[in-house]
Amino acid sequence: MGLGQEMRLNRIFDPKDGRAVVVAADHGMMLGPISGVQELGKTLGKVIEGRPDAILLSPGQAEDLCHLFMGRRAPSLLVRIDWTNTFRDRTYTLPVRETFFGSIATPRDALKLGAHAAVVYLFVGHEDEGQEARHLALVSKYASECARAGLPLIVEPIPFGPRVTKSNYSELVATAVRIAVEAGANALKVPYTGDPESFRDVVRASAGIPILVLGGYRALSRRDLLDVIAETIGVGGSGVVFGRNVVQAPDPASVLRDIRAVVHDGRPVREVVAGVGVGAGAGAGGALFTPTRLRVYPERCSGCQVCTAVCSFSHEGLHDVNASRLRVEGEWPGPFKPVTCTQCERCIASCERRALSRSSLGNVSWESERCDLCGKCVDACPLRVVTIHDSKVKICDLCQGAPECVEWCSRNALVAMA
Amino acid sequence: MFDEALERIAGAGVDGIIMSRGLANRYSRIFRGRDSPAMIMGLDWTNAFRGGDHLLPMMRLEHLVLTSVEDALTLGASGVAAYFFVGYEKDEYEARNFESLAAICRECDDLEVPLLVQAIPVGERVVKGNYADSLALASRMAVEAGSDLVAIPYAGTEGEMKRVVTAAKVPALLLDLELRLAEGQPDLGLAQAAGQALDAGAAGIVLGRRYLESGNVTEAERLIRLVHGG
Repeated sequence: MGLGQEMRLNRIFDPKDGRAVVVAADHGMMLGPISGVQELGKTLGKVIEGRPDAILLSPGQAEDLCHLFMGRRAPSLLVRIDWTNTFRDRTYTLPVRETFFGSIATPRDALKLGAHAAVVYLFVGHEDEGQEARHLALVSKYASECARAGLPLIVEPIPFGPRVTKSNYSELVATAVRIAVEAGANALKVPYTGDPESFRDVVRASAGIPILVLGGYRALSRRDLLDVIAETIGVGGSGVVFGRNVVQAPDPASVLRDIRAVVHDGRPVREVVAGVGVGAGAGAGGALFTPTRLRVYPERCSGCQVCTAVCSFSHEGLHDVNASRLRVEGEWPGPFKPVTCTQCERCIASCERRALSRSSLGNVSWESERCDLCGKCVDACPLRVVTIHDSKVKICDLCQGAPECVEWCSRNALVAMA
Repeated sequence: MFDEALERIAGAGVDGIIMSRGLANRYSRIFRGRDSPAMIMGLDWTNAFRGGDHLLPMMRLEHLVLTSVEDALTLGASGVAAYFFVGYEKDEYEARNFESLAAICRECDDLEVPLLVQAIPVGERVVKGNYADSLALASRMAVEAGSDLVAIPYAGTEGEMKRVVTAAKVPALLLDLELRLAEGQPDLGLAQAAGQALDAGAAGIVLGRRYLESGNVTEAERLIRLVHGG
């Protein structure tokens, strides 16, 4: 690696520990203005309060938002110099029919924008192997141009295509990583393989080139997010590149502070989640995004009843399944089915005294002063999860933004949805 | 020895350090991390600073560009620096210096690299009476060629300093020149000159060699506070 590459890389990876917390905000170029990147300048203002080491942007946004990267306290800038349509799945406008990738700027262009590194994809596993060869040729070209420019090249090797299966995925990640390293990557942005053992193999495959794990998936809870980070750091990972989990959070700075605590300070996740000396705090501020409903995956449910217990405990301070605002149906050994509020609002519509309403946090709230405990809401609930217990109407309130049942479900049978 | 001095001055909180190509290679660790100073690569060479007590005192002012802006970028520089002198004995030399400066400016424009020009009146033709005017000429010429900021020696009085700084149009830094390049120039201490220069609108200071040599960073830290406040 040349001197300029080394120096610029050291402004991304903190030389004190060799690790980095990077925020990806280049989604607009691949997916359009998804939530969180619509008003990117505003979002990044909040993101920067959380002191990321670097932010990944497209060339256009890098030019437009250059003021955010001025001064030595500012994060370093990473610029994506390629493009692909491959991430436009069925949920996006114009879903991809045929995958394309290609260059949109040169390393020299990125350098002129003030970049500390250029970021590119490398897809491995194309159905047409000629495509893979072309992609590798492109990455090799980037590598030599970057070396000449003194700009580090961060490659994002991704297993891709119909030949990728669940069983060969982690081995393919390791393979793709090694190909990227041999092609001249100075750092890597890599998807998580799902468990620390297989990720250790990925780290081995990188031959000492630093690996940042990418978000990509929607973390189910903050603990889940931090657990993945801690697992990768534990087996030799060098940090994270997180996008949606940060930019779509109601309080990106708080998420980043927690991530930094795990990556740079080596703090145990359980302490960070509990907010010990981190300042994350519990409640809505600690959530990754504001949930508006719960999604149920009955096939994952083990019938352990932790969700009903934690629901009654967190709301009433006692373990009483009858006081729970959700229930689990089914008999041992299963199948089981958690039944939760779907936020259908029939209870709100049924209430003549307007004791029920939708709060600013998105949950149904109950005002005891207006309520005469008539029970119409209980009758109106198609799932019978609205109950009257101890002279109170019990309706799922999504725990003011941080549902405890979701937090505690070890099987992810309950998931909070934005 | 030099290593330690460099590390100390970097730790004192300077915003940037001007390095030559060869040293940048050897001391890259000074510039590791976002807290560290920016590396500014000096592109050129001159014998102008070899005074009467030097082993080889300057007999004729020479100036030469050694490194391209592109090489500086490849080596990790955040900016580049070059000299521009006025007062050469032969006008041809000044013309050559300006030509090479202009070429650097164009390369900097092309690569979007900030350029610091150290504009210095020098030689027998520069005397106390024309020093400030020569300084104003040198710095303004550098700016017109495309310099993004200039570093200039003290102009003599606060009033003159203000005139030169204002005429420069771009941010101007006070250059800590130990050599009294014009006969009869007052030798203020740097702290006093810096105070006046900042009052006159200067944007900072370029600390000279003595702050590296002394090994004592207390004075440097005091000057850094003077510039940034606090």
